[in-house]
Amino acid sequence: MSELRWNPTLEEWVVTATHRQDRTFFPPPDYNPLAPTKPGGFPTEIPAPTYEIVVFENKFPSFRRTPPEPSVPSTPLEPVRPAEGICEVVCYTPHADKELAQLSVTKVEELIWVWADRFAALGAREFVQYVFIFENKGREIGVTLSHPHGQIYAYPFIPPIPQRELNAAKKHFERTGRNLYDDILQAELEDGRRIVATNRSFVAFVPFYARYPYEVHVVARSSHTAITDLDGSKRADLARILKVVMEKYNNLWPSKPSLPYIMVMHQRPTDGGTYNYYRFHIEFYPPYRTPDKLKYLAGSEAGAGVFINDTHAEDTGRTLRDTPPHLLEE
Amino acid sequence: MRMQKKITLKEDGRYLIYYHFPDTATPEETEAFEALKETEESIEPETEEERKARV
Repeated sequence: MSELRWNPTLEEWVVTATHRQDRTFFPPPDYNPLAPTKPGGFPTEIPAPTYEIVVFENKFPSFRRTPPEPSVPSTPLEPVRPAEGICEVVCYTPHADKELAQLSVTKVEELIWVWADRFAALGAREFVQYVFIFENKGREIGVTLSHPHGQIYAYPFIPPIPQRELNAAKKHFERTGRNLYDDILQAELEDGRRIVATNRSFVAFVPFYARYPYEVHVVARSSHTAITDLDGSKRADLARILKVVMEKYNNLWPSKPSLPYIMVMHQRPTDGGTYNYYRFHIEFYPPYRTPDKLKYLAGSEAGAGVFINDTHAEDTGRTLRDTPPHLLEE
Repeated sequence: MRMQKKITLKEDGRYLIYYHFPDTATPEETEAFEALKETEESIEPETEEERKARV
């Protein structure tokens, strides 16, 4: 069963999806559901004998195109509504032993074209207000399938964090007449200490206000609000800088050659509104603060919403900048 | 970049989309893509770009 339950104290939706308790949990390699189906072998999610990139609806979705009726009644105090939406899985490669950082720049660029196609196709649906593209990488993040893949949630509402960003960007624009992200990029580039990598279209940096020690934001230099706004050359630039950031993560500590992370894409909503004051960007949150210590979301973070970062963004920014490979071009 | 896609339906009604990049695909990948039979059911709504191209 799945449904949306309104939390009136925080004014946000909570998704209940009890069927997800039964989802596949670290299957043996011969039963990898994200691999192509080999002749005579275990029938996976993908019947073809090989593929380049595939996208399919999640077997254990939090949202459905045709959701069931809620299992509990809605009340004025605590509204309940069907979990209408779409949850997609994006398989980056048929090779289970690869990860995104190990794919060629061209393959990452192809994935960006697929992401753009999904943003447009999902965003065109009447009930979809926000298309959220993300990747959970690593057991520490809660990943239950190690095959390289990402996910896309098409929400029937604008989620709270993007909404807060939109509100802040709008307020900044109304107050100053400038784009908040232009001002952040200008400040970061002038300061320089937190810059991780740059190219002509994007800047990667540990933000001044980083919540995780090695958090990196990749922000478009130009006024794009969604991945579909990027032309071919900018998509190629995005592929290059993403690959550099992910390779830096894997080179950060010898004992962590495949650093876990959460990668999220923040874009304009698809509700038909105008969001020119916003900016397309990608955020990475690796959970480690040292090679063997995790950053936990504990009392202050989980209960008060106040992140405590045990590092200075200036130090982690320099460390990541000095970690190969390097990409700094103006 | 050239990109093609084929949409198929799984037995339980979920869609599965294969993306193909003719300029970089291996012969095996191209063969697998060409062998796919697309569903006749309309799954994806028309995007803004497609609508503009049509009118």
